Amino acid sequence: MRIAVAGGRTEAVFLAEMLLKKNYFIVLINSDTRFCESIAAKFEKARIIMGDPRKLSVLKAAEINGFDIIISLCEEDADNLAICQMGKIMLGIEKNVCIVKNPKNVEIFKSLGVNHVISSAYTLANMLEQVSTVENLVQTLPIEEGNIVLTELTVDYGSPAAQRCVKDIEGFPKNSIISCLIRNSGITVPNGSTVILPGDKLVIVSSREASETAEFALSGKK
Amino acid sequence: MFFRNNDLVIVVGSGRFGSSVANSLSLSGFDVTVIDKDEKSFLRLPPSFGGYEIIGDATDVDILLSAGINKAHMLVASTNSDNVNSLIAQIASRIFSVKKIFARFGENDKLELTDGFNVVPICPFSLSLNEFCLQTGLKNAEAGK
Repeated sequence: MRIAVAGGRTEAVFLAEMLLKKNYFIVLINSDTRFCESIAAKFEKARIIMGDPRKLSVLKAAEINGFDIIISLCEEDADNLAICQMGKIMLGIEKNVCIVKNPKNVEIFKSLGVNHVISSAYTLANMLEQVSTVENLVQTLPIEEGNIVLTELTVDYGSPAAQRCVKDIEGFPKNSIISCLIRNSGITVPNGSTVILPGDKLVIVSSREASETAEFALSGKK
Repeated sequence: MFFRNNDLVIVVGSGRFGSSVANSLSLSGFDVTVIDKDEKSFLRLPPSFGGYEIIGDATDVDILLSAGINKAHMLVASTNSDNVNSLIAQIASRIFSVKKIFARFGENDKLELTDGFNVVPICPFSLSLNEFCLQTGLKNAEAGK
């Protein structure tokens, strides 16, 4: 696989390391002389092109025609779009990936022909949606395609499970287990007679259907 | 002209070209909104300018929406970055279906990017060369490129 990386600094270095390990052929294009010198010394197998990747003449001189992927990591969103489009329209690079600063550009760039648009704010927002109720200090992690849910939850003073034995918790569903109890940074696997105290952090494994009920039984909140 | 007066026109980038276009349109009776990142750029507009001014980054859809791009009949992308002009013209065309779109390009290497969009490119370089050839009767070596 042949991959061109336009712009970027730490991201470009990280990607280059990863891609070279997989034995891909990569071309790095960057306008910073010093940066080019340092990566040229670091990556012997990569081709380094010094020049402004936002210019068609530079992309043409880099001889990346017909490459498999172009990755654009420039600062300005508009430049990244232009680079991806130049790759597709003028250089025959079908697949492209770029980063954007403005999360609203994710959908826009996709509609303008960029295959993968990455925005840290956009990704963060999506993750926060999955982490159901952040303010209740509940974190969930779906595994096995979401059929199993791993939930992390902190017990507070008002919670119905506080000061109770595990076996006495009201309404705790069947397909659910408190797999781990973290107290004063010590970890124990609780049994039925373990008393839950306020401040304890619990890790619960449950089926998708049971996860909300379990959360409610332990925290009193949905 | 191909549009009625009182139609809304958005001009992005209030440089020498953008501000002159905005003023001419305003004098002809169009509703003009000018967007620029830099407040100082609006000083290029004459005191008599009757349109609106919005300070902001026009590559942000929300800024374009606040300028009324949903109702706009024309958009002129005249910032100092070809790539920004290209992006704004494509957003106006693909997402908001603006009828008439002009984009200024300092270099003519990226004209193909707006092919297939209803975007009219304006290239000062090509225009100057054409004018020179016209005045001198020389053959335009760049023609047809």
